[in-house]
Amino acid sequence: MTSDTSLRSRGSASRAAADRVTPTRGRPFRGVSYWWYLTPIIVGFTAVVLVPFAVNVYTSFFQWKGGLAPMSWYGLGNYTDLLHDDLFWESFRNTAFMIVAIVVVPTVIGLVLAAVLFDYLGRTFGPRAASVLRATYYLPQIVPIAVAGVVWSWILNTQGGAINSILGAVGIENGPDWLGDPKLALFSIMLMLVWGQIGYPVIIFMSALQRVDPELHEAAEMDGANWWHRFRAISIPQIRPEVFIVVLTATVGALKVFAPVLILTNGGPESSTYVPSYYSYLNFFQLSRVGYGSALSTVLTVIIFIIAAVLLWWQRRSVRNLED
Amino acid sequence: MVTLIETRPPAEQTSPAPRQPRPAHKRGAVRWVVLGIAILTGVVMASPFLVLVLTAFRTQSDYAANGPFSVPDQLTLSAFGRYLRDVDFPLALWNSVAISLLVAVIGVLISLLASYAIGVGKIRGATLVTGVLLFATMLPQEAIIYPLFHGAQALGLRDSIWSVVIIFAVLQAAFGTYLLGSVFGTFPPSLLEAARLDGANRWQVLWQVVFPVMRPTLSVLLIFFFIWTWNEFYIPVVMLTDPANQTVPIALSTLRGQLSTDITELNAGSLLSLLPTLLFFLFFQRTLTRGITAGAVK
Amino acid sequence: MRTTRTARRLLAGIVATALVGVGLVGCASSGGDSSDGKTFTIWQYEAKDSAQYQSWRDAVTTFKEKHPDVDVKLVSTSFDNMQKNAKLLLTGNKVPDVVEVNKGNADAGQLASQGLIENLDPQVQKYGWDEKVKGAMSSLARYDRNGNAGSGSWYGVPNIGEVIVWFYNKDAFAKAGITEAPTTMDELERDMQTFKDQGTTPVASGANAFGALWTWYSLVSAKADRKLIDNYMFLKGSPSLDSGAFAGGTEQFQQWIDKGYLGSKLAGVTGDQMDATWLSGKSPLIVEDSAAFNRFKADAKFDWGTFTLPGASLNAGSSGHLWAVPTKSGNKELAYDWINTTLSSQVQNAIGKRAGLPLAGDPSVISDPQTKALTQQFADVVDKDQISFFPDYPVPGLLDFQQSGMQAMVNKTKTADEFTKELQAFYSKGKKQVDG
Repeated sequence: MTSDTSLRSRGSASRAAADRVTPTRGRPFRGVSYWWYLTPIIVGFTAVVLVPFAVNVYTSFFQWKGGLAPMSWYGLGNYTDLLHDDLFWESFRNTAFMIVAIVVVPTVIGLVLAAVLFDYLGRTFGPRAASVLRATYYLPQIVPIAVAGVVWSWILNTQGGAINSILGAVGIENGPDWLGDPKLALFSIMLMLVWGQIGYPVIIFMSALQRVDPELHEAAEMDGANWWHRFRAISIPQIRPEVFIVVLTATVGALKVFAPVLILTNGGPESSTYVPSYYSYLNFFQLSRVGYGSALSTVLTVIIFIIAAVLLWWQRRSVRNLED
Repeated sequence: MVTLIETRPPAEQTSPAPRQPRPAHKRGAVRWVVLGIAILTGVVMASPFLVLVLTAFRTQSDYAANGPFSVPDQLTLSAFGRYLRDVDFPLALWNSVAISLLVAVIGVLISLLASYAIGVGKIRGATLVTGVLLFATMLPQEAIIYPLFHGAQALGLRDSIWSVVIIFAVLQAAFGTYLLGSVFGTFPPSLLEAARLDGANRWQVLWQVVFPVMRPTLSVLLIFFFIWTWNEFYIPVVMLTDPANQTVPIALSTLRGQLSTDITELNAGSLLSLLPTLLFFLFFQRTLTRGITAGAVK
Repeated sequence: MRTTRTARRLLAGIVATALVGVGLVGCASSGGDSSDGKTFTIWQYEAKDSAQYQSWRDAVTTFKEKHPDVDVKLVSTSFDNMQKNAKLLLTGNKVPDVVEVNKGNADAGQLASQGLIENLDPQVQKYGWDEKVKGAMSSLARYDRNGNAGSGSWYGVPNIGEVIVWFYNKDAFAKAGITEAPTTMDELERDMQTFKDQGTTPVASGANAFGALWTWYSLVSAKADRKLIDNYMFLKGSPSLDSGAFAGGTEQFQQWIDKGYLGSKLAGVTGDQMDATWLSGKSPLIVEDSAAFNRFKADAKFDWGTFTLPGASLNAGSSGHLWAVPTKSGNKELAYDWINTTLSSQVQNAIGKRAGLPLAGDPSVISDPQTKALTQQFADVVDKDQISFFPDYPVPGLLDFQQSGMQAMVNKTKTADEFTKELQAFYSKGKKQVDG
């Protein structure tokens, strides 16, 4: 007990939190080993994730058409093919854009929106207004992707689509070929991705902001800080854990994205919107090159894992830095 | 920089929860401008949804002749009628609700147990376990569909909704464990102390101390899991081939022909299919205000 | 606060009910078994408003009367699902008794060579199906040991055919002073030029699906002969894709693009959008699959008609998708009976009246003039053995490659010459992989 309060009184309660003051500091709780609590997830994980992934890796060493077709050993052939495959490299290049569209832009916009809604509008117009607005921002996440894709293809339609009609109304005839121009199509998809993603960080950040002690804001206000200063100095640092969560999960999502590409462009026009997951899916199911598709998804998974590991390590490091 | 204080001991709490700070100065013009921008953003965000709604009430020939953005000649329920005629919606609805609820509840349960061991139990290699679990979220689904299919078949589970429930409960729980594990960082240590003084064992601590405090976060997880599972299509369509087990996204997909689709029917069906998730979200969104981190409310 | 407590109780109640209900449902659905002779499951994926589906649905009623002790279930899935998952699904233990599968090497061919669907030669003999499905219409029903179409045993049975036709807006034609549909290629091009001069885009088209692809292939087929197309389709000989009909047809396609006959900015335009352009009257012509007939009939607000590409040597089109019997089917006799039923004159004529282009129907029972005209145009092409199938059938990946090529040509980033050369290379490589 004394140890706890002395920790706190050292003025770094954050360290206590980060350390997750463990009951083992004193006597551990009685009861069955904690590992029993992990059993459900470990069993499930092995059955649903580990074993299938292992099979996937195994398959990647063969050439296989799927179903009952014979599997012919190919060693690392699929992987060398992959390295020489232009479409593969192109799809990875496009991933950078996916990350911008799913991680960078929505997180930043989400932060601003959440803070505006919570710290500003929620106060000046009441929590009900903030709730209603938040619900509209989350709407895109609820609309099924297949239908969202159809609607966005109407919006992006070159002739008679919403965007080009609006442009036409302000005098810009012959609006751009959003989904047909290879230089533009990727950005058009990014537009839809940003739209669909914003709701997720908004929800998470708004509930995170609940946690922030209002007296911090009041103190800052009395010191003369305006909304923007308070946002940067208080809100963002306070909700750092949630920012990390959003960035990590959104990055994984960005690396795996595939449905919008399937629905809007099928990888076109002229193969300009290929992404790794879509390419892998194509190989699995359209081209019946299951071995190659397995190799593609294995490489994709490994890359996602590496990037996620880096992000996690960075998160732990910055949390530790906070305490020093 | 302002000192960071992440938790406050209950005794010192002065404001009631949920906390809404005292109103700022009401500088007339600026706040209205900001509100206007926020509403405009909301309208832009919601506009595809509005188009969806509008198209669902059009007639087919109206859509064919005038496109989706014109003012409709007439509003009709015929697209809904066709959808309900073509698809066994009540059955699909029931299946989707059952599956999503089961996954949400079981997933949250598994996540709670696992993160309890990681966050409170402080088992060795906690980060490693979390990282490995997170791996589950990284797998593209096509990579595991073949093995999962054969595995489920071997267990005799294929074409039972339990195959889908188990798969998604595990996949969602991986994310849930990570989230809850992170959140345990803000768990008030004094509560655990008090429990130890009372001589509670691990099971009791979980359900009598940890669970009530974490309830808001668990509710958020529940909502996410429900909505994410509801919209899943890929794995269910392979696992659930018996039409008695069809979910709503599968039913929707039967509307897509090889060369063309009845657009107004698709929109009507989509609207019906997202209403439950929308209602679920609206119904439970108040819990989202409680926050996803522990300790702020007690 | 109270609300959330109630909400939670409600949630608990729902969960409890769900668990109970699900337990019951789970038990019930695992009880059903397709091999006990009592339940007969048919899988299909045609749209609910299509001629086939409606005729099959009616056929189920008569089928039930013939087999009163059998519970006949007509189950609908999607084309997408079958195309992607058939190979996986048919390896399962619970498969449908008879199933509609996609024609082509990548789908039916693979299923055949992997032994997932039955060799139907004995049944074809017994029921005489090859008298109803003849010539080119049977090419995609037969697959050899490697799963390549064109020869070998019967593995599937089609019910209908499809053909690429030109739909034209008679009202718009009249307004432009054109009284009749074109009967030669020159007339067609002249008509298109007339519209272009008036500032209208003559043909509604799109390259983000099939519109441009069909147009291109129609022009190739117009110049091609039977041997070239058969070699191309069935991987025989060494068809030349960068000279002759392919080169000539592609050149003409490029010219049409340059002259603006197909419009501009087509790379992102989908089939639905292309249809909308024609239906709204913006463009008087459209190259579409005959399957669009019923949709157009319902939605077009003007007088219209159809014609096949005038003066063409061959015409794009094909037999329809196939009824196949999974090897693990539990009710094979019923399955054969079902297939036979769908080929009966009763069902075939029902399909015919709904403009479904049946393979064994009698055109004289059709009364509607537009339907009759279309059916006759199809019959002419089939009888003269002028069907040239579809360009993406031969090797896997051709569809994406060709669609990408169409987009490049309409965007003018590739010339006709470049495209045909790449096509030749892609085809040769693909052929090697298939053979190897």
